[in-house]
Amino acid sequence: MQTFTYTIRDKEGVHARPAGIVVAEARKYASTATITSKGRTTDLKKIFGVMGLCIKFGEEITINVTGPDEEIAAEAIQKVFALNL
Amino acid sequence: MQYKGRIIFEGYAIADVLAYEEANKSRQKNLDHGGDEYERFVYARQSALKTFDELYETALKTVGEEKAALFQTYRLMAEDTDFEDLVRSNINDGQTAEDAINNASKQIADSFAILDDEYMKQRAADVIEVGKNLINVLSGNNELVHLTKPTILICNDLAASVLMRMDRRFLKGLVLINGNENSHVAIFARTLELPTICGLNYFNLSSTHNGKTAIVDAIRGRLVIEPTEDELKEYKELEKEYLDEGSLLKKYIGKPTVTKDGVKLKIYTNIASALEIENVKNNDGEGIGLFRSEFIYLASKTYPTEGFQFNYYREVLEEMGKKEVVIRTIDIGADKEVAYFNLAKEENPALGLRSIRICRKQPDVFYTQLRALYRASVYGNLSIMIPMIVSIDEVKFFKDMIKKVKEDLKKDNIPFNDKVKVGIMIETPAAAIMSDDLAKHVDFFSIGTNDLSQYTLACDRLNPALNDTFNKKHYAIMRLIKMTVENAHKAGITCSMCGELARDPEMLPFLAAIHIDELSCSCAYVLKTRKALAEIDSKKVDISKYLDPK
Repeated sequence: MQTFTYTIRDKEGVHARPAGIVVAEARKYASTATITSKGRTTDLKKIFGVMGLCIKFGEEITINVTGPDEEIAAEAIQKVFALNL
Repeated sequence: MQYKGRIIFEGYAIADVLAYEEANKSRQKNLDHGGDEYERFVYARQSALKTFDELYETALKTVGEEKAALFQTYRLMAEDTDFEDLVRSNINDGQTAEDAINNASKQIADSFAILDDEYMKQRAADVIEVGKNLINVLSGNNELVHLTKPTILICNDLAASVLMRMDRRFLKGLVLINGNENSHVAIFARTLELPTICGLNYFNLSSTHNGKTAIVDAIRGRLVIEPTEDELKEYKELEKEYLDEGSLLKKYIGKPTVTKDGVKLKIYTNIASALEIENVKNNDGEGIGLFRSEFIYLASKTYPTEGFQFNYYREVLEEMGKKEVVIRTIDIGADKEVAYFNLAKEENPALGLRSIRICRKQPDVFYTQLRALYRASVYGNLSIMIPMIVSIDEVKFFKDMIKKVKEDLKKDNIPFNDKVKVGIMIETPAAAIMSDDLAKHVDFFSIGTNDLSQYTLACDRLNPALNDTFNKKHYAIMRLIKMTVENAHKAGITCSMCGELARDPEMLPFLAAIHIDELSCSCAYVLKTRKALAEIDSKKVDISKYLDPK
């Protein structure tokens, strides 16, 4: 299992556009990916789940990636967060 | 006929009208489509996905990758299995595919909305829009809006996706009757530099408008339907001037604002949304002289929270860096109605419970805003401006409130800037007349000429029948302005002006001669005003012609 944390720097929080970008990235991989915020965890491959977490500016989130391609997946997802959020 | 609206992107457009109405979303369940409702949903989804992909490609080329990503998100939403499950269960309950999709998107949107977060509420609109796209496929309303000649599109509101599919070469202007400054379509209209206005209270969309000539005046905020020949001629000239000037004015970017004889002023901007900051920067505004915070309240379904406001103000302040940002506190009431404030209907709303008067009745709402402002104050150069003042009592009221906010923040160990300037608007005759006393209690004045004129002349400024009496350059108003500036300077504070007179070319010599400190106008007028001031010799201005009837 690969885990990393990230603090949201986008002032609008995880809004529709960047949420779509990270979900699309997570879907490229066979591994399962989850996102945890304020004690709630949801599937990173599901757009409504991610948007429903209501993640705001300055909040820390945790990503868990588990599966055959977890290493490259985690790295790619981390990069997408850094670029878009 | 002329209709008033608010400006999303400045400019002029003269062209034929296309009245665009979205088709009815729901229809009765009938047998004519043969296939079962679930199959119809699958078909609609397939077709909408293809559309989102096309939109993504178009947007990529016209507005760039970052904004185009919206349509990628729409694709993900339409494909989502939670969404599909909801639609299926609605169909199993006997709903048509249209109703099932409509209700499923509402169910998801509602689940966001109850999170009591303003950000998420705005996001709920995206889900609704995805649902609409699918329904449009089923109702045959999916066709492109084909434009074959220069067009002004008038609609109640518009999906960003519909706008993206139109031929920009023919789309000259956009009118969103019920739209607002913060919608996706507003963002896209700004990026496309499309003259756009919104919020037309008294205009009813009708297909009878189709093909008629219209003018979008996104400089004053007007829609003119079937202009008279004189109006048409006037606007053709205005448009030409505007375009010619635009290119000439570019050389004033980065230059200081100074009159011919060396009097320095500042030109600030009036804005209603953080989204306009890009316009402020493009037009070289030296600060924000009037940030209309009431639009945060108008866009919200309930009182915006402290946290939401804090983030909003912080973004504005950070974006503007060292430049001053004057945020005007709650200016609700009169023509700006907000349902959740639960204000009683009044015979004379302009003379009724509004602005600071509401704050005194609902001090907790005012406290929340001030606290959010002070929390945000460490992120930039904030000033706070209180509107609709008529007495020293009101000044004492908000100063006490600010004192309490500061004490509470100290107790909670939250940093704030203790030196935030707090000023008042001079927009009532009472405040202008009392300006010598008021100046002792505040850090600055800003003259709001629109209301000052309305109250001084006893003219409802929204009543078109009074256009002749409502002379904003009335001697009485000029005298009040001069008196206010003098009283400010005597007390050692600054006096600025926001409102339409601040960018009126006829007024600039007078304002320069009485040494007003700042002028605040909408972004489109910054460079024009800077240029006009550079040509004025303030020592040679005969101010008596503004003050004394001949």
